[in-house]
Amino acid sequence: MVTTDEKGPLTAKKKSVIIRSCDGDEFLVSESAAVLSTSLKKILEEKEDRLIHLSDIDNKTLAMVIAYLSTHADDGLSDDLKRSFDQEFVSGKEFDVLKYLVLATDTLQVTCLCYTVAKKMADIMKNKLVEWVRREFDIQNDYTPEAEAEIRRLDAWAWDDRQLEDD
Amino acid sequence: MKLTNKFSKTESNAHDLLSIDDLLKEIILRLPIKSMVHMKLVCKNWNSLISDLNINSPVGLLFPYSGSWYTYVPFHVNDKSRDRPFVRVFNFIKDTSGIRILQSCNGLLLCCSDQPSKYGHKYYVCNPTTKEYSMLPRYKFWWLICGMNLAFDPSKSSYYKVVYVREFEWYRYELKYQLEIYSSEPGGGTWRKCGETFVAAQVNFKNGVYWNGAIHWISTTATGKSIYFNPGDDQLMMPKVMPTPPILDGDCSTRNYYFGESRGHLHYIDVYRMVTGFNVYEMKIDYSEWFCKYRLDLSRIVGSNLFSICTVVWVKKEKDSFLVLQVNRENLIQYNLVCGTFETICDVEVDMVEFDFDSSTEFPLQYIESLSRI
Repeated sequence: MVTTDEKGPLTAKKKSVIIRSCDGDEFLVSESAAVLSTSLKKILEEKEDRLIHLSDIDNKTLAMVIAYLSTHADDGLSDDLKRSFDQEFVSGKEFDVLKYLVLATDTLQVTCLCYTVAKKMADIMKNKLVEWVRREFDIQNDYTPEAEAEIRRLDAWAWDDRQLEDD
Repeated sequence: MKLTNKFSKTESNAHDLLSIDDLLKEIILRLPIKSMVHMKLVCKNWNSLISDLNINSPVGLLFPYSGSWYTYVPFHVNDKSRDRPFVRVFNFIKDTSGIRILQSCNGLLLCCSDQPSKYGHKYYVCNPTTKEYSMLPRYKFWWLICGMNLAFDPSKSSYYKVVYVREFEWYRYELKYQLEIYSSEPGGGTWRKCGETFVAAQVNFKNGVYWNGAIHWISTTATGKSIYFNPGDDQLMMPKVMPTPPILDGDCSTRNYYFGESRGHLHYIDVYRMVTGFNVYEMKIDYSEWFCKYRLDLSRIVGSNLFSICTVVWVKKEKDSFLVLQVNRENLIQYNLVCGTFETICDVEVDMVEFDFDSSTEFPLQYIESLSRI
């Protein structure tokens, strides 16, 4: 699968790079979009290689990150438009998808997307039960019931009459 | 290895700049403080991550609204989705007359009862995040009070001190003052007199600012003195003199000023009414001088409208530092000090909130969320 970043004929002459996901799909990306990722920028500065292989980002996640980078590399869009794009970008996404995204933004070092995704994840997590969070992050509870009770006791102020969701 | 499993382990990938823990911190930091505390229960690793987080950062401004009601306007640093302004009620402090907030200091607030009792105003120190508070012991000579100030720095001590300034006597046409200190340390007991009496011409003891371990009081007249006092320094129990801020000529009715602290920086700004250009001064850490940190002209933002400076906020990355100004008593604008960009963070009509600008508080207070115990 080769996708262009929909920039039209005017920018077609600009340099592009090909980025390959861990499952083998390739994406054609303009260099101006790629360099918004600090990691890709470093790779491009170091070698003239036009094909970059990312061993731990799958095709769906990579497609999303590239859509983000291309939008942000577009000089024709105002900051306000980019801002509303960011909100659209994360809205309605499953928590699982966001987890892959935040890991990818970290690997690729795209700080502003990392913050946007982290904020969205926090918004989803804020009214959830601790058990929900453990499930989503695949974390084992390593507390004894006594240790749990002690932690609740120390921060008793935070545990008054709150309705938390488990789904 | 499945990617999401990374979150359950602490190993980090070779080309990850952030470890998974750092990434988790980015997420956890964006939770409301209560949820953040809940997440300590997830596992031991999360508990230690959250306990290590430094969340003592300015997050918003408190404006008096009415009685114990304050309008809270969150700041907007890097995060593009921010909360709207809302009202915070301080009725968790049980005082029948309601309370007023006098000072905000690294996560704790100094408040006093709205109405005096038989023995003067009651004073409280509280943490609005945990809703804990403590009433200060009764102080003597309450009718001579000039100011009450909180000194608290959780990076140095988990205990706070309160400095009480009162008139002592007139001596050869000069008014002398006396300091008393209360400490929240166990066994701190009650107020104790501190050092000798001293003279302080035209110093405004109402608006003390805690910075660099000491409380600073300035004079807002060109002939007055400015002083500071370190309540933790047992050797020197007297206030020291510091350079007077570069005060503009002219009387107080034609200008307003800002004097405040943010993340280890002490600022002073003096603005003439209807003049859009001004300097942001900062005090050097060795008290040698006030130097001009920024020279600003806000004419393109404020036009010919009335404006005043609400606060200066220093952010970890200097390029994100900003000031907040009120324009026309209606809008609050966040103005980036380095690149000059600005945005409206509160519009009285859109946000349906109210401020009381004629309150006795000289400027709104930076609110800092923290888990410090009282």
